[in-house]
Amino acid sequence: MSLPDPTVTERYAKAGQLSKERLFEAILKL
Amino acid sequence: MDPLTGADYPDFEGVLARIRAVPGDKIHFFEISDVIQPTAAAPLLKGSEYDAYHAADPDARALFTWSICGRCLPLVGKNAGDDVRGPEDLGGARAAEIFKAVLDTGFRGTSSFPSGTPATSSRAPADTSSHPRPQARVRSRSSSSST
Repeated sequence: MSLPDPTVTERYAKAGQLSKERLFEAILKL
Repeated sequence: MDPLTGADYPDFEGVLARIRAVPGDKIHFFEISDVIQPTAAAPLLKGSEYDAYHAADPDARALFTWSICGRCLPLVGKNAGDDVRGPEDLGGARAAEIFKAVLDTGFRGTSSFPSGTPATSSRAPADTSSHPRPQARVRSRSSSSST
């Protein structure tokens, strides 16, 4: 099995962090 | 939601109630994704962009196909946000309300935000050979404590 493209992994890690921040912002508005 | 009709949760408050009924100290790990609303484009087998993927394994449950192909990061969208065309692509499974229900249990453990693989995120997968069924997922490594 080949290793994942590190640039893709980094992009998804940043997107995951953004998702977390937006989720908490949304929760605070509920 | 129903991938075949686009119908929303029949009893979303019931879903939240069942989550809140779980003791928080019995939850050891929480992983959340979102999914594209079937009504954002077209329901499965009614012209959706995932119809070809589903046709490769017609015995698969519709919800399985939709959860693989339509999975996205909550409030960010598919392909780490690169495939977002509008608000409808940010996810329609009410992930924030689900997440809040989990936190309402008292859970303060580790959570993660997997979003599927780039291979399952491309739009209009007319050729299923370029849209393989996932063997292993590239996961967001943004796990964190939710405290």
